[in-house]
Amino acid sequence: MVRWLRQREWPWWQAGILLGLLNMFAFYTANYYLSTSTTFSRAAGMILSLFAPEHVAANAYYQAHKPVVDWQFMLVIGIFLGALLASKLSGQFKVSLVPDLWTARFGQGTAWRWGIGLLGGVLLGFGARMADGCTSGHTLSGAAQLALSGWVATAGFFIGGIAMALLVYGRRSY
Amino acid sequence: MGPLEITGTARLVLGMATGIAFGFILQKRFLPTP
Repeated sequence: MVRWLRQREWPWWQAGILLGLLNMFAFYTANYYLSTSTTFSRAAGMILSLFAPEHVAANAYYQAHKPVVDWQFMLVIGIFLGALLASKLSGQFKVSLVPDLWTARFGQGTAWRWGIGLLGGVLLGFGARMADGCTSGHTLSGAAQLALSGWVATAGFFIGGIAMALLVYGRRSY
Repeated sequence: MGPLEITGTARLVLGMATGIAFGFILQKRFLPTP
């Protein structure tokens, strides 16, 4: 068991089965599903509340999605902690400003990497609100419930992801 | 039998515990460091 927890990588089928079971656990215990993107909207609302509380109070989106710490907010904090634990256990943990894959393609320049990362984050955030969900909510959870919206969104994620990977990295392996 | 719908602080703790498991699995499969 400990050896398994310390493995660098699990086979796809093991991770898939565990994610499915975890989603069932989330549904059963919290009556909610694995998803993350609304937490980023809530966090933005919390920060905005520090400077313009009246704007947040009057905003229709934040009336429907109150900027409070809820189950999903804690889930997102837990994701960071769980990934940290896994990387520590397998000896993979390291602090790096630029990922190795990016360095192999574009070099070690941090400004370029962080700029593109910020742009990607903005696009992801915009898309997740437009689609009312991200890869977790639509693919892991929506598709698992056989929701048509989940499958359509999943197809979009793959089309967009493959196109962007080809655009950024080409066909070469890094 | 329907969902438990745990509320209050226990719900938040449960959310974090679920997240830790979620992050652990993601790191083991989808975010391997080269």
